[in-house]
Amino acid sequence: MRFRVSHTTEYKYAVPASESFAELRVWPQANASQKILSRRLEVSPEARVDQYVDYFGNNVEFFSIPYRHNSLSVTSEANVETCTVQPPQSMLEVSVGEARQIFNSRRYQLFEFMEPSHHVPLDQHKRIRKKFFRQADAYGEALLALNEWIYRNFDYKSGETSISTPIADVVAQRRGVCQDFAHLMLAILRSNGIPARYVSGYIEAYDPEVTDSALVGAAASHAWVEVYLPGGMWWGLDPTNNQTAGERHIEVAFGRDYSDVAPMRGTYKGATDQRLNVIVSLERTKEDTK
Amino acid sequence: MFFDKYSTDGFFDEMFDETGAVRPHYRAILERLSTLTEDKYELKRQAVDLSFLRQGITFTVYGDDEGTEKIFPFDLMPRIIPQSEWEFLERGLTQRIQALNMFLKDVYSEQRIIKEGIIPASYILSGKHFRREFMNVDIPRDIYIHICGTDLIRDEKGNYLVLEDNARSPSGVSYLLENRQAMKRAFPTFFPKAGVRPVENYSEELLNTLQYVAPNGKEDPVCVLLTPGHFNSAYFEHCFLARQMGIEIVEGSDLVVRDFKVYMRTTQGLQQVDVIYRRIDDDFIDPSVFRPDSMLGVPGLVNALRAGNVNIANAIGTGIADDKLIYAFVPDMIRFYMSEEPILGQVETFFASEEKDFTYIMENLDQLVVKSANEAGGYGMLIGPKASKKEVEDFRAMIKADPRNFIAQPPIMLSRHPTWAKGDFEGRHVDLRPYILCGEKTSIVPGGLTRVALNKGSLVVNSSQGGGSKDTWVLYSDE
Repeated sequence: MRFRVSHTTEYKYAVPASESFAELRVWPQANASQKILSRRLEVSPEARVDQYVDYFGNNVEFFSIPYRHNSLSVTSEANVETCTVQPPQSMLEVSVGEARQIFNSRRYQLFEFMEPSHHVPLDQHKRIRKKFFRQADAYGEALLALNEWIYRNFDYKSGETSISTPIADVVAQRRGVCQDFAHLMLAILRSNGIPARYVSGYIEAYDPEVTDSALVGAAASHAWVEVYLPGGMWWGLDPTNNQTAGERHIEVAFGRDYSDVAPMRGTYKGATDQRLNVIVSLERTKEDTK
Repeated sequence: MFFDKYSTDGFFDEMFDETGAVRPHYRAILERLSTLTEDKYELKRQAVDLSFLRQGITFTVYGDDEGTEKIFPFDLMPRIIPQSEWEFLERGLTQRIQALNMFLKDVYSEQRIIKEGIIPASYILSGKHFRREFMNVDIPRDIYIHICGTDLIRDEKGNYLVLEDNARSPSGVSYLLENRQAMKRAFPTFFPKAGVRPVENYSEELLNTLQYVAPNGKEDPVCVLLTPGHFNSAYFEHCFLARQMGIEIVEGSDLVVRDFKVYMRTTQGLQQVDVIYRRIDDDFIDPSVFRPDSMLGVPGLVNALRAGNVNIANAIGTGIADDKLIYAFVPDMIRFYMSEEPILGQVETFFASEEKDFTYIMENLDQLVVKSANEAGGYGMLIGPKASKKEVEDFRAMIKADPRNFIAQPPIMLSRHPTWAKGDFEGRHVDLRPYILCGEKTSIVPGGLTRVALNKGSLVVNSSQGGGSKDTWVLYSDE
């Protein structure tokens, strides 16, 4: 499938800011399941944008605006072609016990995705008594069962949690948004010795060809997790929608948790009074659209 | 007469050997002191204290209610190191800093030392000061640690051991320089005859080091000293060094980043800055990358670094080298990178994160020194044999909660040095912090800061915990 995705972040300052600096992680990944057909970044007021690849392999763009400005607007636009890559059945059929052995033999490569991180402490979901991964369980099934369990037991409710809401609160209230569910799932996975990473991206919330097809995502901006499979593949699981990540998911950046992939991180000098506006749109385009 | 009742009490004493005879390199100072009376000595001492106070040579104690500015207590009796002993230390420290720099280069690029199994990946990747943001960033001349303050102690046999490498932003060198000035004033006729190697060119060497690591080998680079400001405990030192080097001292708000270059705001407009001697921790240096709540740093600085338009000393991420877990591997680093045997010894270290060591630590907690892996200044430390039951139990809980963050070492009976204590000299425990500069060549200012635990029997020499300092003399000869 082909999509045109546009992601605008806009700051309006009550009093002009004298300087702004920002780092962006809004450049969709090129990988086996998605191809970037075109990509463009627009910053207003105009600024020279530089770029590097970060530790995890994400494309980072950064800029500074060293003069007075009343507003700052950043628009990232990309045309992306996606396809579904199914993991080979053999990777999903191994037992959890075998999988764990394989992970332990690759601790150096996987270390960071097995350890607690800033938003994913491993001691805050103790209230969940359910046991998800037994040594003899088939790995793939156990993963899907966890994905579904989060979906069934937690309500999607926007506006009640924020990025600083701890996992413990999400567990207590049984509700949150996609990033809460992703962090919770990471915590459960990692405390079970399973390497997993946080993915930020977009989702096509409505299928234009099917009625009544709504998927849930925060206005097309979305977050899910990727789990490491023995054999070296990362498998996308979306607990918010009880799905595996497929054609309608567009992956932008991954890391240990949200703090590694924040779409825009920056500072400005000025009054603290600011208005932030984020607009993400995603539309399916015809195969011949460039 | 002084020293009549002096006893070494079975410790290694810097001045007297086990038979009570004075060591050759202390003979001259002993003769000089024997011509003094208690009153005369006391007068010299008070004059020195007063001059420190007048000049504002002070430091700040965090978490102390009674006025935080204090003078750093100074003990007039110098610590003396003979030439051959110093040459040995120089060789050992030079080897060590080279290995540490090679380690940092490796750990921020190829990570050979992990791949070849010398250091477990988990120790490095879980290090609080391992900066992923700096993977594969080119650092001018591959020097990460430009200024290192390595703490040395001596065991009961007098062997020098490295206690820790301060590879982030070591402070205290201004005291070394001021102590020397004080000694010269206190002993105006004796000092020039004592055959002591000078320390005064430290600031010049420091400036040379900074200039040498300018991006792209730029000539006549503009260097500045970046301070967190006057609330910082070492602000006196920041001003002192900037003045000595003749460079600007700046705060974060004095610098601005434009087009990935760093500029300093001056009365004549913006001036580009090439090298920043920063005395701000990594966490605070660039709010757009590290702590967003930092008001101290320079937004955009990290990206200017990445673009190769500025360099900072020390580099970002050097903290992984003085992580107390990584410390335990420095001898292995020397063997791995340099194919040499370590010249200087160090203290045996147990890891709370390893099951076997953990059990040993738990069983012997009241016999061990426990340190938090990433704290400095004597904070977050337990000295088992001297601690109360409650302190030991508090640490036991802390270690259990976060084993990666703790190491334990057998207590080392630091060497003692005669130190003035109300009317006569008594033995007090000392350590030594030499300052190593790593630029075109590695240079070590002869001597270092000798810190002394002024409280009787105490092993903690940190200025924030009741320590004082001494002038350290390195002699041109062995006598």
